[in-house]
Amino acid sequence: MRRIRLAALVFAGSAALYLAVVPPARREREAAEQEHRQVLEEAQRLRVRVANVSRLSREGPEVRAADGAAAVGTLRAAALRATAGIAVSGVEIGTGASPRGAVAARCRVKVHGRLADVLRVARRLARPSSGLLLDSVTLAAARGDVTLEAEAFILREQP
Amino acid sequence: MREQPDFSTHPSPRRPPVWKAGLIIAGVLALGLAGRASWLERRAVSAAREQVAGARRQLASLQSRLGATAERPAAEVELLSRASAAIESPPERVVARLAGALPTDVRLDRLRIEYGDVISLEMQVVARDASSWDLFLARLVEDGSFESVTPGSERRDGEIRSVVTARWAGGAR
Repeated sequence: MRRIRLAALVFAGSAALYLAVVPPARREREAAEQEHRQVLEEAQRLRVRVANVSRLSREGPEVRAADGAAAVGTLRAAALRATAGIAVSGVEIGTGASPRGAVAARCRVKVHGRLADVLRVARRLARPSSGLLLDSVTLAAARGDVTLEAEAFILREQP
Repeated sequence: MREQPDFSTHPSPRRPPVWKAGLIIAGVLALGLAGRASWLERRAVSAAREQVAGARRQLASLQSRLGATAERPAAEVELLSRASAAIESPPERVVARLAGALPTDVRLDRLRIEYGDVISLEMQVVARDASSWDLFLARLVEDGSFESVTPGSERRDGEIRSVVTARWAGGAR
């Protein structure tokens, strides 16, 4: 009888040890693995961001202008390039120079058309070679089509 | 002469049945296995934590590189970072992903994409009924490209018009 009790005690101890350690540790490991995946994704995003920022900062004149007037001219030209040859209507381009700060000028581009066409305009505006830096984009359903309103800026040339 | 019983020696003790000894051996084996499983699982936890710490160090180094890479004022790096976000996630990519999450009875009336350190989305949505609205929200959450999905106020009788805000997590994949 004593041996049976001893065996039962050992079995109960094994089960208790297993249940006390393994399932919580497994949950902890799964959480850590999930966190690891998220951090790796974030690192990947940041790596791309570092590369893009580095490239943009080297590109110089393409996204920079010496003064307000030049900046406005550059932005206007970039906005016109973005809409050229695409079947959109109601094109509005508003530009304004910033007297100080890192931003030399801001512009607002508004176009109306089919979704595919306004998205083509948005794609051109977002390209690194567009000559402007995109700040925000608003797409709104209007009269069966879509209106795109994009806000962009250009940096001031550093002395 | 009759043979007398021998009382001079002790009676030999009874041997325990083999199955009882087997039971104890099985118990000890189970204890060993449980110990081994616990040890392996704890070791895996430590390894996973080390991986997380390594990845976090990598992330921190990238963050400091982002600040230093341009060798320019912080305000300018922030603006360049914003512009970079637009390059990584142009509007058409966000729209395509959203279109995939839209049930047939839900339409997007307005979408605002604001580029920054994070890409913020504001969606003005019209759903024919509450179930389509719920389905849209569930799909957004499940998609994985949208984080912090926050629905605005809703009236659940009839057509639902509401605003959903979210963060784009699609990034440059």
